[in-house]
Amino acid sequence: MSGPDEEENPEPAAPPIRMTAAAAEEVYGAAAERTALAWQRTGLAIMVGCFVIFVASVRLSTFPIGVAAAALGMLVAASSVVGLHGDRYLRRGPAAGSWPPLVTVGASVTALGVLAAVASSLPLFY
Amino acid sequence: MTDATAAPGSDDGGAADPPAANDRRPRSVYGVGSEPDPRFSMANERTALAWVRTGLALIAGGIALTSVAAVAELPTFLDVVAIFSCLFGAVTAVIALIEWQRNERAMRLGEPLPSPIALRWLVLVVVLAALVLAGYAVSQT
Repeated sequence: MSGPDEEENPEPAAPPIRMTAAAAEEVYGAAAERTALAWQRTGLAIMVGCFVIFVASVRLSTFPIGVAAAALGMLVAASSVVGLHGDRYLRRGPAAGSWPPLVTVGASVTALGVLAAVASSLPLFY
Repeated sequence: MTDATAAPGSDDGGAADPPAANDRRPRSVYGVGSEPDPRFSMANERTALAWVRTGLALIAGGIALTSVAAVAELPTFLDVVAIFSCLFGAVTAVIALIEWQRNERAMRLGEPLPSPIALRWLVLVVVLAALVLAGYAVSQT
């Protein structure tokens, strides 16, 4: 912006709100990478959790719970492999909606917790 | 606050068009205010993921506890602690989503961030579980 207003208002201009793709990559790249890694860690943790529940269910002879946990783990693994969450920011930009993948992992962990609680409660009855 | 930002992945070499706010869900978050700095949104998302992983840790701890109790033929009271830990882990994952919504909405509206709703409960549950398990371990010696 240039013109008479600039002389009347000597304060520095705000950072540009539009930038080139290269500049955006430089500014947001590290934050996007940290976020992508956080998604990968979470996916990995869910898969490990599913595996732990599967092994525990085999030991506790609660096979349906183990099969459900294994299916959930494979679902999360598949979503991580195809990059559903991992590099979303780098591909689509930081303003891409966060809600759908967050709901996916939140629902996965909630289901995992309920499965684990059921598996843990079975020894009380058998 | 910025009104629009370029998509890092866009390859047109120029300014990218901002995504349409109406395309994003939930509307209770994206339908209000203006676009915050993307770095703050990403930090909010990482915080939500940290909550999810905390829930996973609680679930894994519960499963480990019930497995050890089954293998070592320990009292069923430990299974009750494990059930509680797993259920609280599941609740923590739901809380992660609620916290993300509240924080993102506050950032879009330019309001102060709300205080975490479940942090004190999480600390309370972890301390309680630690005391119960420590008490059990001491009673067995």
